Amino acid sequence: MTVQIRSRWRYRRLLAIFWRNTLATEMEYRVNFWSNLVLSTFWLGWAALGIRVYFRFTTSVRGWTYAEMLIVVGLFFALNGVRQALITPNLARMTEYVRDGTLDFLLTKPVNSQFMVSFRHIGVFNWLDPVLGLILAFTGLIATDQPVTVGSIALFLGAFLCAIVILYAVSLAMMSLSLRSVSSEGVDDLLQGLVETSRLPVQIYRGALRTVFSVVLPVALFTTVPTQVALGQRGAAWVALAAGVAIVANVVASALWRVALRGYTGASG
Amino acid sequence: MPPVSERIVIWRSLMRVGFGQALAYRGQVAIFLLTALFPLVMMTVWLSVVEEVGPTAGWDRQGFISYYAVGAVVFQLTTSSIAWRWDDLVRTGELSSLLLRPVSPLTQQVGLEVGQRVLSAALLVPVLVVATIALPDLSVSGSVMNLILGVVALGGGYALTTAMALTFAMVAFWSTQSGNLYALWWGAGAFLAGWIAPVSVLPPGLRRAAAILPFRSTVGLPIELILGRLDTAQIVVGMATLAGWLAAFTVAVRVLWSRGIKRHQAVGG
Repeated sequence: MTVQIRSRWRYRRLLAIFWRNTLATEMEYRVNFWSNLVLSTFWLGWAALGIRVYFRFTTSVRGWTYAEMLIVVGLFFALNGVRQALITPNLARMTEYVRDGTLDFLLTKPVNSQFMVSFRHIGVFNWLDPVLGLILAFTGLIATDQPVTVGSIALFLGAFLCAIVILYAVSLAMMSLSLRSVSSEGVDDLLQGLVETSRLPVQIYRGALRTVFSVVLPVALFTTVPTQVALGQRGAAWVALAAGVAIVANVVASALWRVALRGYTGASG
Repeated sequence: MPPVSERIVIWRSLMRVGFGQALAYRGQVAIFLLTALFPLVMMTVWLSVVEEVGPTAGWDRQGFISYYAVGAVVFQLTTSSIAWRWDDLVRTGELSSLLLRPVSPLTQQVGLEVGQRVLSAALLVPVLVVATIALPDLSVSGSVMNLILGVVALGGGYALTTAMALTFAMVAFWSTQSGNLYALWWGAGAFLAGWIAPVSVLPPGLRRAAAILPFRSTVGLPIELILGRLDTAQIVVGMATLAGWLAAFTVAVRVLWSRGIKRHQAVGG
């Protein structure tokens, strides 16, 4: 037990060291930091205004009003920000790790390899995107005139947390696959494409595409379900479902990673 | 200025290298996927709106499908990544080695990109032609004259995007933020260009701005010409706007280049 606690502390300390390191490196370009802040705000406004065009002609699209859709767009922005800040910096390095043999070096460290490849780097320029996205989502929520309670907000944030955890599992599965084939450039673009499909509610898709996005791929759980939870259209059962999916996805992805490592023969192999 | 025959040889070989690079760099495919995805999502929403409230600003189901299908090809052919690549060249100091070559770095960069665009056109245009024949919802009703003018506008549109991107690229001689400035320019332009939606569905104020500013010439004009949606007067005004802005930005690039290159001291200089 004490060993476990000590090791948990160790991982927390490692995380602090990793991230402080990245921060120090990136903050050397302070102008970039500020200009990225301006760009983030700009793209958020862009995303919110872009969908406004539809509402010149109608008050609701497939049952979604502008205010409700703003919540989805805000969550999309937040989730995409998490992807850019936490996932992409690591996922994009995976090909490099395998090709340059850095992975062999990482594997010799007395630290869990999944932790090492997943959390070694962060992108500091996008750290504000999740905050800005959530601000937009809450703005939309207030504009809908829905009764907002502490309970509904807790469920909403819980559902969104599940979305982040599911997205992480997907990225870990992709990393495992890229261990198999070195030619996996563009896995990050694929992940971005997946997140991009959650920019708007899944209800706007028709036919087979909608089935794929709601049943096969977890796109509906990314932004649509958390929004519906916030609006009171879906209850706690859906948050429980999302949590279940998040747990199962992570168990599977973690197993995939271990299988992939077992088949990995090193840079020279 | 080298003789014409020599210049043809230079351009041909640059384009061939660009062509080869595009084939070799598969990441391009993922980027294509992504930039193609967003307009398709926008189209899906329009189809929902049209289904619920009928045609909007003269665009019905068939109109929107045709606009975004032709658009998907036009978006790919009239974008330029030169501003960002130039930013890299200046920052890393690679520009210095390009300056040693007997051909201007501007020509080198543009030549490479033209080669890539020719490859995209060779892949995408046949797909579009087959789709037009196979899908009843996709109709290109422009006359032969319209199609020819559309192709001219497409070439002019690419030239204008390139001239705008190069103008911002030249800012790299004075500031490290040229790439971000171009992103803002492009983002603001995406509304007015017809990238997000046909210009005619925008609110009146934005429509007026779109008629004056350069963006629409790079996307909306070629699409609407190919679709046969413009009358003679609109075609004349559109083409004149395109030509005017192209001339203005070409002059701007030349002036900024000759001033900037004198300032350029290479990184660490």
